[in-house]
Amino acid sequence: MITLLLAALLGTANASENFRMRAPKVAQLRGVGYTPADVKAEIEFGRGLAARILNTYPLVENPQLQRYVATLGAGLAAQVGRPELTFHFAVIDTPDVNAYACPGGYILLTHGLVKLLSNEAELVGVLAHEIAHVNERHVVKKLKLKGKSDSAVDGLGAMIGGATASFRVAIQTLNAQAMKLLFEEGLMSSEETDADKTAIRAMHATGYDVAAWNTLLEKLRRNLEAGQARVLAKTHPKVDDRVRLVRAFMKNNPGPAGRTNEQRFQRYAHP
Amino acid sequence: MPLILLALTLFPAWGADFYVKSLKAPLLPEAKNGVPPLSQLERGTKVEAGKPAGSFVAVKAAGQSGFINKLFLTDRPPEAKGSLLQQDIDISTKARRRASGFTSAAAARGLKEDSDEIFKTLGDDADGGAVKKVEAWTVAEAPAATFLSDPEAVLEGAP
Repeated sequence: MITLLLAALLGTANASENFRMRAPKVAQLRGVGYTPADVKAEIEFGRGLAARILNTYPLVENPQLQRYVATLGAGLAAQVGRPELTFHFAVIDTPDVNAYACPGGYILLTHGLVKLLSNEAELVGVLAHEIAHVNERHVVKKLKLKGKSDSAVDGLGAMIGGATASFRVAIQTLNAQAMKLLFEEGLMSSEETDADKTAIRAMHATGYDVAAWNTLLEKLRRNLEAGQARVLAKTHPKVDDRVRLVRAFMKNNPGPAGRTNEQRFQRYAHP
Repeated sequence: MPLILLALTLFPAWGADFYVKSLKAPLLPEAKNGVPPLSQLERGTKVEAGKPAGSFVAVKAAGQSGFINKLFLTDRPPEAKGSLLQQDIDISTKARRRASGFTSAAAARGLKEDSDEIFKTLGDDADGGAVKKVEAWTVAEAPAATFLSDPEAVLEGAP
């Protein structure tokens, strides 16, 4: 039985807090604010959200590109992702320029975005930005997703488990809210900025050229000025602010330029 | 993550324990990229953190002293995938420097039998088959990390 619940739909904030306090935790997750049940719920919800997106935008029929993105993404997630998750990556068939981080580690890049990229460093920056959203559980927090407690006496969990019709409506509502969040409203500007910071740090930590993130942002700027990437324009901070972040990081972290792996990127992504 | 980075920034002296979060973290002789690492620390390795230096922090670990990028550290032992979600990750490492090891769909998915329940709940609005396809493409961590770190690595079977 799926064990998601939405406190906003089915309970009050106080009830949610009580639930959180009673929920069992394993030692490794103690103190981070979520439980193994929350993680399982996050993964299940993320699978559903990814399925919803993939129902709208099919996968790009290019096995080599998909393998390349999946491999690079998994390698990056192994280094900077939440260790308790298995991340999944794919490219969806739409000319829009965007990427979507579903809870639980399901990350979907648009073909329009991939076509805009010139090298592996830019791709790593995009993947790291999306991994950061998953790491920080931005969508999970926004929707107040929690897992059902393993405790038999947990009242809210029992209510969910026993009310199939209500449960399904709640899941469908949550799913629709998540779609709206990703495709229309966007996350908070501060969350996008934090994801940018993590992306820059991840590029640096894994030896990629941080300047490539600026190159990508300049391409995004041209896209925006041409009236493209409308959703991204609506849901992300201004390019100028994002560029300033990169420059500040590079100023504080002088050193040899990292790699771009342009040749490998062109071989697999733009053959 | 920002709190961990903040903690690593504030610790002024030796003594704070952190753990390697990444699959492998290079222990560097200097606080900068581009220098050969002293060693590679495995995920879960406990380190004693010292003074921060930009994106790096001084650490002592396994009898060595050096620097690690803060992004690779966490303030608690990292959770293992297997113990949490009953996942069965296929670590297939055929040839060095080749990113092999696409997991099977079931292994990558790693969830219990009832995990398709979410697709049933969403009905015609969801393409669960496409999600399973994406999960089947998932690459095991070790070969994927090798592919990431080695510019000469190639995808197995690709032209």
